[in-house]
Amino acid sequence: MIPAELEASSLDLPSSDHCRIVVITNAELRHDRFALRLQAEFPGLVVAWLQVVPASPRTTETGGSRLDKFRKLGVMLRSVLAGGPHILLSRTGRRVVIGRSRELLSRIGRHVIDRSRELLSRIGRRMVAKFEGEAASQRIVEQRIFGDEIEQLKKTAYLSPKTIQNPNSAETIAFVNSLEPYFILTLSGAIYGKELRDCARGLALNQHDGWCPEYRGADTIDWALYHRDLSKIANTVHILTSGMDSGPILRRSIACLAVDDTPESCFARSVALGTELMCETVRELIQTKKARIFHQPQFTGYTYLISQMTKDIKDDIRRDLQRGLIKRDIAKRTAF
Amino acid sequence: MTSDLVPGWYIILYHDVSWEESPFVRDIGGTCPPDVFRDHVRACEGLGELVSIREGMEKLKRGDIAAPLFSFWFDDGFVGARKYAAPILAERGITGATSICSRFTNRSEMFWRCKLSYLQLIDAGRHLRARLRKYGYSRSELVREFTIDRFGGEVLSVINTLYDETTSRSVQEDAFRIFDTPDGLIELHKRGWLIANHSAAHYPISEKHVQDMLMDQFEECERFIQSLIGTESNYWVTPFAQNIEPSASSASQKHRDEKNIVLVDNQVNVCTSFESTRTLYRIDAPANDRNQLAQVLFAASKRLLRRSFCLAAIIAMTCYCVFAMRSQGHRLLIRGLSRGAVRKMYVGSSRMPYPLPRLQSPLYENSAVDGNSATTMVKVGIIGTGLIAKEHAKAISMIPGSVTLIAAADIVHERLQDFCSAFQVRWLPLPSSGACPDRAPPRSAGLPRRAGGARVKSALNFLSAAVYGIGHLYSSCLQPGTFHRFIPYRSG
Repeated sequence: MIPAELEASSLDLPSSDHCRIVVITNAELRHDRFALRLQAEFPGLVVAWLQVVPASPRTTETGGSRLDKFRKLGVMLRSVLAGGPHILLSRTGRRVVIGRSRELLSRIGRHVIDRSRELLSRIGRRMVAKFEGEAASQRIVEQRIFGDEIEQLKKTAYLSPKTIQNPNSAETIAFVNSLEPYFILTLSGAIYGKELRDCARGLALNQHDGWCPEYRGADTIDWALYHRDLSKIANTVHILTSGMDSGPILRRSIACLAVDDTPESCFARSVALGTELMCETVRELIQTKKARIFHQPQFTGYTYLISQMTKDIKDDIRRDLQRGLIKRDIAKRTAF
Repeated sequence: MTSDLVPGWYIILYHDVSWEESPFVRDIGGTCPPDVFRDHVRACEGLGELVSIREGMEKLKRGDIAAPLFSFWFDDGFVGARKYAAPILAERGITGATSICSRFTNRSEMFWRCKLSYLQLIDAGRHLRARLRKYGYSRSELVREFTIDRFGGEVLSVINTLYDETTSRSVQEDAFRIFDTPDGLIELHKRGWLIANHSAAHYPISEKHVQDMLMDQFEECERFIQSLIGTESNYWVTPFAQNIEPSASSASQKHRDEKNIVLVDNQVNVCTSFESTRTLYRIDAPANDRNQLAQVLFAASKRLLRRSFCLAAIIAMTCYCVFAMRSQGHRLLIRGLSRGAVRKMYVGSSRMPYPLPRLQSPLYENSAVDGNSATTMVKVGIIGTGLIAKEHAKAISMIPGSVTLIAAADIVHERLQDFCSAFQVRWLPLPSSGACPDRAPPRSAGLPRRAGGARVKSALNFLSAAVYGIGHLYSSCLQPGTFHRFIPYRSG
C-alpha cells in the first residue's frame, strides 16, 4: 500500500519504447528469488543480472579469508583420503607438493583414515558453526521458504548472473551504461554510487527490508521484533539515493507471518514481500510512466547500524518468539 | 496415515494467500503465506488425493469416494488466489475455486470488514465504538461481532462515514489492489478454475438485513459473473457461512434451489449428506500455521466418525439390538464405539414401546452433540422393524426439523418392505441380498455375548455406511449377508 501519512508528489518518467531492467543483487537464495521473479514477471525486459560477490575483508597474507583457508584444507585432506594428487600452500605462499596419495595411503592404515575422516568432519562442522553460524541458519530457512518456488522459477529463467566484485567500479558502470537500462533494481548489499544510479534512464529502485522512515539501516526486522512491533515487519520500495534507505517511497507494506517464525524467517518473508512490491511498482511504472512518490522526512525514524545489534538483543528476540509472540499478536489484534 | 482419515471430500478454505498482510485484512485475519500454503498442499498430498472442485463434485455425485479427497477454495476474490495459490496447485495438476463479491471485483464498493480492519489500524476504532453506541453497542461486545449481529443500513452507514472521514481518496483507491480484477478472474476461469458467487458485497443476514435482501445480492453477483465468463455460477457461497433457510415466500427460492450452497462448517462432504441437502461444507484452514492443518483435518474426520457412531448408537440401542444392550459389556461397547458421543443411553428392558417424549429427548440431545445448535439435521438409519422400531419411527416423524429417517435394515425381508413403505423410506436391494439368512436370530438374551457384540458392530457399520456413505469402518467386523443392505434415499 502507499504510505499515506507522508508528503506526496508526482514524478513523470521519460517516455521510452523499451524499458530494459538491470538487476543488481548479492548471492544468497533470497537474491536469486528476486532476480528470477523479475525475469518471470517481465520476460524479455530484464537484460542483465549482476551478482555482487565482494572480496572478503578478513584476508590473510596469502590473499584468502580464514574460512577459505579452512575450506582449502578440507578439500586437500579429502583429496588425500580419496587418493588424488595434492598441493599445499605454505604460510609464505610457496607450493609444497606432498606427493602421490597412493604412497601416503601405503604408509597409513585404513584405521587411521577412518579416524581422520571423523576428525575432519567434526572440525569442519565446528568451523562452519563458528564462522558461518547465522548465515548458515539463514540459508536453511530460505531454502525451506523459497526452495521449491525457486526450482519452478528456474525453469522459465533466461538469464544467468554475472558476478562482479564492486558495483561502483568503472568497468561495471560502463557495462551497465552500455545496456541503456530504464530501471536499475537492487536488493540490499552495497552502497550504490551516483554514477551507477545515473545509468538508469528511468529510475533506480531499491527494496529495503524495514518500515521506512521508522526503521532504516541494518537489521531493521530484528529491531522491529525487539520492539515487539510486528506491524513494522515490513518492506519498503524506494528510489535509490545517496542516503541509506532514505529515498522517496513508492510502496510499503506489512509482511504476513506464520506462528512458528524465527527472526530468520521473518526476514525472509519481508524480502519476499519486497520482491512482490517491486514487481507491482515496476509494472505500474511501465504502464503509466508516472510515479506517486512519498518523501521521507529527514529527522524522523532511526538508521540502525550493524554494530548495534548485539548478542543480548538477539537472544531477547529469540526468547520472545519462542514464547509465542506472533501467535499472541494475531489473537490480540483479531479480537477487536 | 491415509487410512486414519475417513474417506470423503475435504474442501479446505482459504481467504488470501500472500506474502503481504495488508492493513485492510490484517485485523480480520485469514492471510496465508505462500510457503505455508505450499506445505499445506504437500500435507494433503500425503494424506489422500488432490482433486479439482469439478472432479470432486463428480465423484461426490457418483458416490465414488473411496479415499480422502482434497480440494482448495478461496473466498472473497483476493488476488493472491491467482498470483500465488494457482501456480502451486498447477504444479500438482489441479485447480481450485474462488468465490467473488462482484462489488469488490469491479471496485465499486470496498468490503466493509476491510474498512473495519483499516480503521482499527489507524486507531479510529474508538470513534467507531462511540458512534455505534447509538445503535446498541456496549463496551463488553466485540465490534467485529456486533457489526455482524446487528448489521443493517445504520451500522454500514457509520462504518462508511468514518472510513470516508479518515481515509484519503488515494488510499481508498489503492485499497482495492488486494482484490483480483475482472481480467484476472477471466484468466483464472480460462485456466479451469471455478468462479463462485459470494454475493455482491458480503453482507450478513441479520434482523435488519433479511434473507430476501441477501438473495438480491446473490442475483446481482450472478449477473456480474454471467457478464464476466458467460455462464452462471452453480455455487452460492454464503457470507459468514450463514445458511439460507428454505422459504416459500421468497421469490428467489426457486433460484436458490437450483444452486449448490457452500458453507464453512469444518465438515467432510460425503455422498449421502450431499444428496439430501445439496450443501457443500468446507474446512477453515489454519492460515498462519503450517503444522496445524493435519490436526484440523483429523478433527473433522473424527467428528464425522463420532456423528455416525452417535446416530448408529441411538438406533442400535432401540430395536433388535436391545437384547444386546442389556448386558453391561455391550453397553460399554456402544459407548466405546461412539467415542463418548452418546451421553444418555436408554436400555430397553422389555420390548414395550417408550413414551414419545422420552424417545425424542435423546434424539434432540444428540442432534446438538457436536456443540452446534440443536437445529442440525440428524439423519437416522434404523436397525430392526419391529414394534419398538415403529414407535421410534413415529417419534422421528414428529420432529421433522431435527431428525429424519433415511435408512432401515432388518433380516426379515417382508417386514422391512412393509416398514419402508409405511414410513416412506425408499430402498433398493443390492445384488448381494441373496445371501440373507433364512431365519431371524433369537430376540432373547440367549445369544452369546461375543456374537451379539459382532452383530452390534456390524449394525453400526451398516448404518455408518448408509447414513454417511462410509463403508470402511470396522470392515473386519462386517458380516456380509447378516443384514439386507439397502441404498437409501429420501422419498419425494
